[in-house]
Formats: sequence, structure tokens, C-alpha cells
Amino acid sequence: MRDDVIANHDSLATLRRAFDEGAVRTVRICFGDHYGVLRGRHVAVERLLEDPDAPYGFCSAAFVWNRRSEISNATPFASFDTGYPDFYWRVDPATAVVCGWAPGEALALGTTSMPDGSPAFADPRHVLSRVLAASPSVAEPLVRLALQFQGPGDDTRWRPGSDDPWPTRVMQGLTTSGYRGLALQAVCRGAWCRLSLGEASALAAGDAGLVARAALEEIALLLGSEASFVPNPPGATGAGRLEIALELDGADPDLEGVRRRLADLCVLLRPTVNAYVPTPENAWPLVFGGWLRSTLASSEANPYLAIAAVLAAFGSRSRAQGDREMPSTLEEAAGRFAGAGWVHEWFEALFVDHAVALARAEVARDL
Amino acid sequence: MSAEFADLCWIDLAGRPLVARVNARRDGGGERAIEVSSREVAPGGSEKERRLLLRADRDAVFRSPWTDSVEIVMCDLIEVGGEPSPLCSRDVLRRVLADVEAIGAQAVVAAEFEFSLYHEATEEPAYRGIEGYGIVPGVEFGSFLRELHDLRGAGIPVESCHLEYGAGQFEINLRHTGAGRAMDEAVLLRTTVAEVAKRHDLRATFMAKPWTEHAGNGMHLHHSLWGGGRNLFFDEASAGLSPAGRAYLGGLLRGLRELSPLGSPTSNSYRRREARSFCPVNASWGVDNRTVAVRALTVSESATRLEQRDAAADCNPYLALAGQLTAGLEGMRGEDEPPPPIEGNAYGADVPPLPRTLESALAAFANSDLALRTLGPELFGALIVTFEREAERSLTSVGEWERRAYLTRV
Repeated sequence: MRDDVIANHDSLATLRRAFDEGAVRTVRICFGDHYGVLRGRHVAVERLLEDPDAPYGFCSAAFVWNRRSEISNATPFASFDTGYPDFYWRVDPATAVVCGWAPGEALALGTTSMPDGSPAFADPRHVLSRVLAASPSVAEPLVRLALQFQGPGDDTRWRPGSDDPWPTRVMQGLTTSGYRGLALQAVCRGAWCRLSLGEASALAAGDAGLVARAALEEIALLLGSEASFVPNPPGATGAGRLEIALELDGADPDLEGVRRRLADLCVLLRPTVNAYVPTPENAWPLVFGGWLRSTLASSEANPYLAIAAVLAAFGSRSRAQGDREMPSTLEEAAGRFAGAGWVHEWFEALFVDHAVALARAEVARDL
Repeated sequence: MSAEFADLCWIDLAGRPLVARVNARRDGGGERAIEVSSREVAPGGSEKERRLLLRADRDAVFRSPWTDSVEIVMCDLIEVGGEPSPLCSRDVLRRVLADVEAIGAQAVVAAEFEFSLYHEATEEPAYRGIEGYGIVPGVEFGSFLRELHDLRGAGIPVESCHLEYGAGQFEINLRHTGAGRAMDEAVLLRTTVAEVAKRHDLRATFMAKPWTEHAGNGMHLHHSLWGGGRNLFFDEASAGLSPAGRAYLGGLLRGLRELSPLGSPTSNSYRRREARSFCPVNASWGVDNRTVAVRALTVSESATRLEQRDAAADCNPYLALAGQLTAGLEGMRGEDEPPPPIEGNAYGADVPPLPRTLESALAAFANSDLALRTLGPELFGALIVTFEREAERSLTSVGEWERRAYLTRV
């Protein structure tokens, strides 16, 4: 399934070849934080290849930071009251890619665990894995992602035949890394850009969304500019979002139920205060060409958590009881998530407490 | 010796590597030609100035990161009569390691350093904001980071490097290895990081607290003792610290206050010591706890270790480690029992505080029999003079904040 989005079959072998050829020297060992910000360490490639099973310790504060690395001290996962213990990262061999946009570097994602061996419940990649395991009905769905964001510069780069370096660098970089099915385009008359990723299994789609977003930001920085994923920048028309499409494979979803459940999960889909200004229109799920499509997630959402939310909303057999209207503030979204009993079929209670605490910390900071 | 030239490298009391380049092939090592002033090694020393000589340590040879024609040969300082100099930091550590070997053990140590990149012209951090473990903000420093990993080829095996929790700040981790070798790698790492930064039009500082508003730079040392192929700190039955590990820990805790100036030798060192800064402020310990002074990690036998977290990144690593090892061994001899671990936030814990100023640290150090035995009388005395001068200079200096607060007050 992963081959649909990343061409590598044995990515550690690919990494070894690239190292032997002198094409890569360091590898970023990475994970996505609660907001989908790519974080990690740089290690020498030979260090990873010498012992691919070796664990790497990271401070658990990494999962309680917001996008600006401000610490929340209120979640059950990590705080000064827990002493910020390590969590351990081990490479997922299927995820290693040579960074086509960063010469000499490779990147690998991993699985995480706590010192006692239990999964790191706050790791969004683990949260998605758990949702996938929670119901056979959504175990292997195909997922397509598209990121809408503010690219660097103005819309002149989108003139036919433009030699502007940014779109070319993005496409070259991601294609060289093995990503398939890519399309980069202007939308809203050039006010926004949209990167579409090829269809993949849910976890691979989450991996690709996380890495692609970081690559877009990096390439812009390397060109002396900026790509912004703030969903509602001042004065902008339209909004930054993460579009998620789920292959229905003949299923006939209860759209009203999915809508109500998605409204309960907004804290995962729209995790920042800015995402609620203004309330989005036409963001409700619809069925299009055999795919269930949601544009509710904001561009700052963590791809793993957003996919997990759509899968849970689609896969739940619980009778939808919540309000069909979307929360109008992050505080309201946190309350909906905390109070919706059905979410515990899909999300660990500790994770629910963690996500709610992070959201409320964001609200408090904004105030 | 395969390179044409050798940089004979000795260590001053501040932990800085100083070098003389010699023609290695023609002069057979060449150390006989080098004389070093005791004042150069220990500027604050109270003893009369005298000549010191070098003795090359052929087991501690490093390749130059920059050229194949030069090797770096670590040297000990010796007296004219050939005996080890009391001012030699490497020899201080060697003596303590002999004490470790006397109990049938070997000390394995890993150093981790924080440092800050800044722009020379403005003296401002190379990146603003806090970007802990950040990948995208690190892109600007990609080639700098790749060059740090290339230091493996020079015999300085960098394990990993990442953006740390302060503006312009990075953390770099070295491997676990024999304690003497680990400290040689540590001092060469610092100077090489500074040189790599310079080649990228940046500057690197290991200063303990370069900016008031940003996190300071620490040096954490990870200790374990091994004997017969086993980690002596690991207790298989409890999957926790062994009695030997607990006794060593007890010794580390007892030594924290009186040995503080060895890891925190400047007035600036103590500006790191703030609550909720991830720098310890008291003589606390805990299991995998980042708010304490000594963090115990007991995940497996191979990974079991004690991480002492109070030292500043710009200390003399040999002396800091020598003090810590001596304290740990004292604990083992006395079969110390550490207090209960701190679970959770140590910043408000009811345990003895660490010194907050060099003056208070010096008061404990000057009366420390442990420090005297670790260092020997001459080095102990030289360090006291050095610390006194440093403290006096700090006391009589007017800071920028004072001008901001009082210059226009009428």
C-alpha cells in the first residue's frame, strides 16, 4: 500500500546504497508533535545503519509543545510534575527516505514507547495506529491528502512555463524522495497553494503529509521566503486546510452521523485558536467519486490525528447524538471532545485528557 | 604516526586545549622541544611560575578534521624531573581512574553539551524563538550539522545533534566510552564545533548563560562502572540501581555542593540555575527525571547510568568528571544510601539547595576535603585563587541591567 505514495520498497537498503554512493551523510530521526510539526535529531547515517534497532531517547516535552515550542504543563503525558521522562524512538524501516530537497540528508520516522515499553500514548502516529486497530472496518482504507497553504511570493509563479524555482524545487524534492501522485497548484487566484499527495494506506498518508509539510516549509526557507500553514492569516480570503479523502470501497456512509461525530472531534481537526476565526463554511463531509471527502481539518492539524478523526467519524457505529453544528471556538471544541462518550471507543482516555489539556492551554495563552 | 605534523595538545585549567605544531616525522614526536609556563596553564595559580614539559599520550591520537597532514596528540603536563605535574587536568583524572581500577572496575562516560550559535556582529542568537528538536528551523544549519557528524572520521564520534530548548541553542551527544578518552573527545569537540561554526560565518559559544532571556548551556555527564563485562550499577532482580549504583549515587549527591565550582567555575555559570529551566537547583535525584541534579536511567543493563546534570558547558571536563568520580567512589566506600528519589517536580523539593553564586560555592569548596583529595594541594590552591579572582571581578563589575535601571534615575 505504501508504494502508492512512496516508491521505496526496502527503504533502509535504499538508504544504505545512498550512503555508499556518498549521497547522504546524516539522517533526521523524526516524529510529528501534537500539531504535526516535524521534530527530531540529526545522526550520522552509519550510526543508524550500524544498529537499526537501537532506541533513541527524546524528552517527553516534545509532545506537549505547541507550534512555538511553548510548554504546556497541564497534560497527563508530561509536565514538571512527571519530570519530563524520556520516550524512546525506534526507526520504522518503511519510512526512510533520502531528502530530495535537502542535499546530503535522509529522514526516517519511527515508533515510540515509554521506558516501560508501553506505547507513548501522546504520539499522534500511535494514536492513528490505534484507531486503525480499533475496527476491522477501517483497518486498511486508502487515504488521499491535500494541503492548502500560503506559498511564498505572489501568483506570478503560476504563469504557464514559469521558471520560478519554488514549484520546481518542491516537485523535484518530493519526487526524488519517492513521493508519487503529486500535484502542486494555485487556488483562490493564487492566494493559496495546494499540494495533493497520492493515495496510500492511512499511516503512510499521515507520514507523507507530515514530511511534505515540512519539506514545503524548508524549501521556501532555503529560497529566502516562507510557506505558512496558519489557517486564517489576517486579511486572507479562504483558509488553510488539510483535505482528507477516504476511499469508501462501496460503503454508503451516514453523512449526518459523520458530520455530528466530526463536530465532536474538532479539537483534533482544528487544534489552534486561529482555526476558528472565522468559522469555515462548506466544510462538511460529502461523497464524491466513491470517496468520503472532508475539508474540515485546518492546515495546522496533525495529519495523523486528522486522519484518525475522519476514520473514527466514519467507522463508528455509535448513534450520533452530538450537536450537528461545528464548535465556534477551540474551548468549545475541547469541551465537545471531553464530553463525547463515543470517542472512547477509538481514543484512549489518557489521550483525550491530553488533547483537551493542550487545547485549553492554547486558549489560555491566547487570552 | 602517519601524518607529517603533530599538534601536541595540552589542557589549561579552564579546560581549553592549547597546541604546538611539530614536525612529527623528523623530530620523532617533538615534545621535548616544548616548554609551557605554569602561569599559562593556571593563570590564577599562586605558586611561583615554572616551566612544564609535555609527555605525548600515544593512546590518544586524533586525526585533524581539516587536513590529512596533521594529527592531534593529547599530552600530559610533566615537571622538569619527569614526574606528572600537579597542574595537569588529564593526570588528575587519570589518578582518579586508577582508584576506580583499584576496585576492579572501569568507568564508562558519555558527555553531552549544549551550545549556542550566534552572529558575531550582533552577538545575537543565530535563530530566534525556541525550536526544541525542530527540523525545519534547522534547515538553515544543515551543512553545519552535517559537518559535525563528519567529526566521526576524526575520532570524535558524534552520536546525535539537535536544536535545543533555547534561542540559537543546540545539543550534541558523544558516545559512551572509557572516561579518559571521553574527556579528550569532549574538549576537542568544543573547539572543533567553534571552528566549524566559524567556517559557516557563525560563532559557537559554550558559555553557561550567554543571554539573560534565553536558556543556558550545560554539560551532562553520564556515568556507569563496569566490571567483568557487567554494569555494576544495574540490579537484574529489581531492574533498577544495584547497591553499588545506589552508593555511588549517594556519593554524587553528597559531593554536589562542595564540588560545584569544578563544574560551574565562573560567576556566569550560576546564572543558569533557575527553577523550571531544566537546570538543577538542588541536590536531588530521580528516575528519568529532568528536574533533578542526578538523573538515574535504568531501562536495561547496557543503558543503566547516572546522569549528573549540574555542570556548565564551559567547565573543565576533566576536573568536573574527576570530582564526580571521586565523590561516587567515596559513596561506594562508605556504602552511602541516597535519600528517596524525587518523583515529579524537584524545583520545589525539600532538599539542600545548590549554590546560586560562585561566592557561596567557593565557601563550600575551600573547606572541602573531597576537593583537596581529588585535586592535590597545589591545584586545589590554584583553583581557589582563580575562583576568588573571578568572584571578585564579578562583584566589582557593573552590569548592563544596572545601567538600564539606574543610569537615568534621579
